[in-house]
Amino acid sequence: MSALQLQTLCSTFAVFRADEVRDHGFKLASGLAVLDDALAGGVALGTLVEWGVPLGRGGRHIILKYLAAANRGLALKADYPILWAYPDSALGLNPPAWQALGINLRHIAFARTNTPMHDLKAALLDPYYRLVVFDMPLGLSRDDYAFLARQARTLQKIIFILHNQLLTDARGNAFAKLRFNCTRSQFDPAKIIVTPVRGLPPQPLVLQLEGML
Amino acid sequence: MRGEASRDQAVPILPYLAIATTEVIGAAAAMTLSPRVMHWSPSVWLIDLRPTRDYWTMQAQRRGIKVAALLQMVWAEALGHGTQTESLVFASCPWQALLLNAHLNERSLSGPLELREPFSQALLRQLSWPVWFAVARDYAAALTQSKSCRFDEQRFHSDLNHLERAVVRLGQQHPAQMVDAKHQAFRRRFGEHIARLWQWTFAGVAEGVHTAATKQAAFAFAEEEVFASGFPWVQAVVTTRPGVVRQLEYPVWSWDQLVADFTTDLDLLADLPALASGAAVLRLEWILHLEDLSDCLVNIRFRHPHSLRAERGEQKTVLIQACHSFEAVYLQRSKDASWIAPAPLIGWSLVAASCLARPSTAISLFGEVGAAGEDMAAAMRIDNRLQIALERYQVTSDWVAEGAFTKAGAGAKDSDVAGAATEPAAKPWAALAARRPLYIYAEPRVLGGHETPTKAAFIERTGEVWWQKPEGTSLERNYFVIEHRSGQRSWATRGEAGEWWVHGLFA
Repeated sequence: MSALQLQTLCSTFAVFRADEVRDHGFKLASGLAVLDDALAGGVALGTLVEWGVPLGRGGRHIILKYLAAANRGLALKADYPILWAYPDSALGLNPPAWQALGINLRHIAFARTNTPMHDLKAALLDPYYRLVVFDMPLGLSRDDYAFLARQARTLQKIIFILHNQLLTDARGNAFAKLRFNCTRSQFDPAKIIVTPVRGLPPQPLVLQLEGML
Repeated sequence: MRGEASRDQAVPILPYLAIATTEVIGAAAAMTLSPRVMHWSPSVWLIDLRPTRDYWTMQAQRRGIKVAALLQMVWAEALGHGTQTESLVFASCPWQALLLNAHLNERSLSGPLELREPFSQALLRQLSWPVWFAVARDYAAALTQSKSCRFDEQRFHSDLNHLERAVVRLGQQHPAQMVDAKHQAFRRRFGEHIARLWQWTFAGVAEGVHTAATKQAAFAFAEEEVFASGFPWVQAVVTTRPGVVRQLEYPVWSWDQLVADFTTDLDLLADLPALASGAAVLRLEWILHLEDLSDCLVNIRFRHPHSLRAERGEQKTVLIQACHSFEAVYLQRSKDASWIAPAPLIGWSLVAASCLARPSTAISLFGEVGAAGEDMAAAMRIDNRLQIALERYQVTSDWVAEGAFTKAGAGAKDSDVAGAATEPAAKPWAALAARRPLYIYAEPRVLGGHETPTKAAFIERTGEVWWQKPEGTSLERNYFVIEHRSGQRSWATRGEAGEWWVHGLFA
């Protein structure tokens, strides 16, 4: 790990050193060494993370790694229930594929809604769902992001926002501690390139994923 | 073979239950399993489990026992000592539950039985005509009691006698001997009502096989309201419904002004003897009394039985649901009458309209024990507070993507959720699932002519469910991973004309 990365990490997670964090289990690791090392062990509880993951480009494999890790209690030291909100459109879920990718269907509830902030407010106000994913949410406002960041912080949740397009610096989000873009490598389809937009230095991280289509 | 057995384990309990008891019991005790009950005859209760089916499924899954066994246990505790349950029969429609129940009593057998089991179906096929006629006469009595305006009792009995004579003339002992007879033929000869009873008798049960078509017919009944289906359902009523009345000292217009008084009333309601004994609420009726002397009904519903006593002093779950219902009804009414000032509230009545009676002896059974119990209680609490129902899934062993999963209740055990997928016969389907997309379309979408994929790679050949499709349907589907110009990868099949049909999108 470079000195710059270490400095960035220390400023982001000032309370614990990386090894302390791992030992105390305050972070959720994906199991992908490159990404976890860059994040000094994983995504800290209480964090709002924005991902630019266009559907069909392989980016959700990384998100599912986090979900599978949460199911296994990896780093968090307990299995936590997950809430996944997705838009009410012609697209439906294919749960066997989720299970095949390591998701324990017992610990994940899905919400099909176009107004997640309204429909799921009670779940966001309750500590039960520790990992909440908003997949392709429509029209989240600045106030919504502020609310999500506050709920993540106060209830020690991890909230992922998955956008169906790549994130840009032009439209920033001060409430998200971490922002990433994920795309499939043009040269090796088995590799995903994660480019930090906020929270880490902008050097792309190349992740090798097995079994990805 | 498709995984029918695994799928049957995954589907919830059948929605209608007929229970025969040795002694007469009251409606309040009968509402132990569901608030929707009907007193069919002095010794038989019909119970519509649909309002509480998810709840019982979750409870049974957590304890690792069958739902039917759990319900039998709870029912026995509700009745207490001295009263014996003769039989419990679960079926897709009330008529089948009643028939099988009468048959069990005739043969001095006891349940619980589920009509989806081969043994129960075999018993139904052994049903005798005299039992069928006896239950049909009870049906006529129930229709008369329900004051159905289109029912001519005299005509019904005449038609029934006509059928009895026909059965004797044909030398038939069991209705199953005439299973191929169409209900249209019954309608022509014996009238509308007998034809309907005949149609219900073997719905979902044909030659011991749950064929797709008859299964669909049986479950279609369950999805409809029994009133719409023509079944004479007469809801049993308890003599007194617990409730509180509030007269406000000053008129109020908004939610914020009434929250404190409303919370106090909910606590008062929780302390009433009817609810203090452990009853859980499924629906509250909040009748708002307005200054213009009109009333406005606000229904507050819960997805799972909710205990008011558990949230005493706070009542967060009710307040969340009540706030939404209040906004939907009262504020909408105010908007509709926008040309005049909205009438303020001067009081209200709060009534527990639908309750699940829980006997004190069963409280220990329902006590939340350990982390798993706390998790389930938390999941149910959030379900009750949300505006939309959360979806939970379990996998079944089926090769067709759209049939390889079913919805599950909250709190399902690992073995239930993954059970079908971990059994040896299901391993090929699990391997298939790993190469399929996260999101699929209910109906594949044709790719426009200008959207030719840049890459296509074959990944699987899947047999079509041809017996459920119109004639001429292709027997198999060849699936490809296709890549669009944008780099997006889809799961697609090719049509006969070479066109691409996108069925799903990869992660």
